[in-house]
Amino acid sequence: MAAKALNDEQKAALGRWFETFQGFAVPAEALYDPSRGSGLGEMVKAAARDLPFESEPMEFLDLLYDLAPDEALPEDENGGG
Amino acid sequence: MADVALTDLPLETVRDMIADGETSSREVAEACLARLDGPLAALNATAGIDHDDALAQADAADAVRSREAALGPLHGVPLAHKDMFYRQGRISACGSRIRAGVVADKTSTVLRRFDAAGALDVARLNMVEFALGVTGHNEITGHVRNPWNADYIPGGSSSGSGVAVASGGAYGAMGSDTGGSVRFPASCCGVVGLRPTLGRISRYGCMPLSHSFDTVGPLTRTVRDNALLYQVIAGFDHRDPAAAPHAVPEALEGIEDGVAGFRLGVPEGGFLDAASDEVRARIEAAIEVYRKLGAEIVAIDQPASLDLANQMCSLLIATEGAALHAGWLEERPDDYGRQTYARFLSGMMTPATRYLQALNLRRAILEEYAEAVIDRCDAMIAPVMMDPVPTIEESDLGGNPGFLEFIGRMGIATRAVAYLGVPGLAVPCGFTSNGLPTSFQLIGRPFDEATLYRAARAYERETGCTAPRPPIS
Repeated sequence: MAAKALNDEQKAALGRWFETFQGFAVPAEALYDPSRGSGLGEMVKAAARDLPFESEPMEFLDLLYDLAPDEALPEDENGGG
Repeated sequence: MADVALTDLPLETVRDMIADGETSSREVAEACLARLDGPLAALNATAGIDHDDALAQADAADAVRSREAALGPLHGVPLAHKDMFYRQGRISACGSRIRAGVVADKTSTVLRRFDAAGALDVARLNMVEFALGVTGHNEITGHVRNPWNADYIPGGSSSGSGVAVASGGAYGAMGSDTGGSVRFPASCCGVVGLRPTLGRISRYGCMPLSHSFDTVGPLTRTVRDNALLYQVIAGFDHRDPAAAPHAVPEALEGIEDGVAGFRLGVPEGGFLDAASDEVRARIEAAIEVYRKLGAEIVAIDQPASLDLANQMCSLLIATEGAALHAGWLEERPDDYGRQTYARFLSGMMTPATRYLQALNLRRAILEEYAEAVIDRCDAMIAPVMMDPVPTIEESDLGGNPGFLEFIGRMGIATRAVAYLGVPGLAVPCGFTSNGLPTSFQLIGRPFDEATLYRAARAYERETGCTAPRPPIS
């Protein structure tokens, strides 16, 4: 997905946002945000609509750990000492 | 020259030669230092070398060998590491101006484990500023150059690690891989590089970039050497809150067993289609090697969600990095390279709700991946880089902003792997028409690095893919 540069008006708005919420000024040339220009935020929002209400980030690790082969399971789960 | 032959040998061979008294650790260390001081300095691969300390380590190793029969698995072998692995009392500059004079107050678990195995630590290696970049450009410490052709990028962010290992400055080097930073330099420099399963190797005492994705992994010239380093450093560490409690099966034990019965997943309509013709041709040739060796080739319908995973990984790395750097971004903006500063700033703009949603999606996407890939094959093959290695000049975003799309393409397959938390092993698979190396990666089941090593070793044994060495002037 192609990234888009911010126009001057958007950069000015972002600069004001930085001053207000981050408390420091940012030079206009630094304000380039490929992720926003690509529409990623909207994609995340749309994908997250299908998640269960109870979702939380740590659930990822439970699954990652469970996918290990038997011989790599933690010692208390594979019969080892 | 004797030292050229010595530095071109595999780690295992040199380790055995030291143990048998055929050479000394000092002789090997001097040969590596000659490489680091000469051609590797010209490629800007080194960040700092304490010659006296390196030789003192070597002399101590030789003294131990002369009086003890039982030696560690890396006894007397020179390693060097990305300049973000802390050693107490030593500077770790992290490729930056901001940390240029900061002396570490702790030693990383990885370095402690290497020390315990008898390895030498002979140099700090250059890197992309704060590990935030894929090409090897560094506006602060200077760009690192590719040993196969100095006009080309070495890949980043563990650029010095890839260059030093390829060129005989060390027999192995650690890098960090948050979104591809071990696999890119491994691919660009023609060496083997591992991104381990998230939590497999301790990150304690390493510079953080993004706690959800940071991993550290070894770069070596051969598959067996990579497995050896992995074996020394993998395993639980109570000092890393993300460390996994899983057992570490012996990676070298079955490494020569071949791929009969091994199921190699080949993505259809995904990473392979996205690769350029040249890179895809090299990987298709590798798939044929696996078929010939007896592997079962399994067509994989690559989940479309991996595209989103790639993009979310990029967003999350910038966001978590920005949180770590917020103070310096405010107080020392002029001390950052322009690209690093801009990238971190982009992370400051992520709404907290979107950040958390992107993390929440991780389990659902891993579930989909497990069903489509992990349940059907032992490892999936994919490109590391989608395109042949570019030149430093054409990939300099400062002078060529239009190259951003290429940079984005570079990480399509590496960032998705990082988002999933699964391991990826970069394996050289020949050269493209510009004379630069290219690689495939084997993407495995969580905590099953041993299977990746076995499959990679079968390919290496059949093709000699890790034998070519870059020219040293």
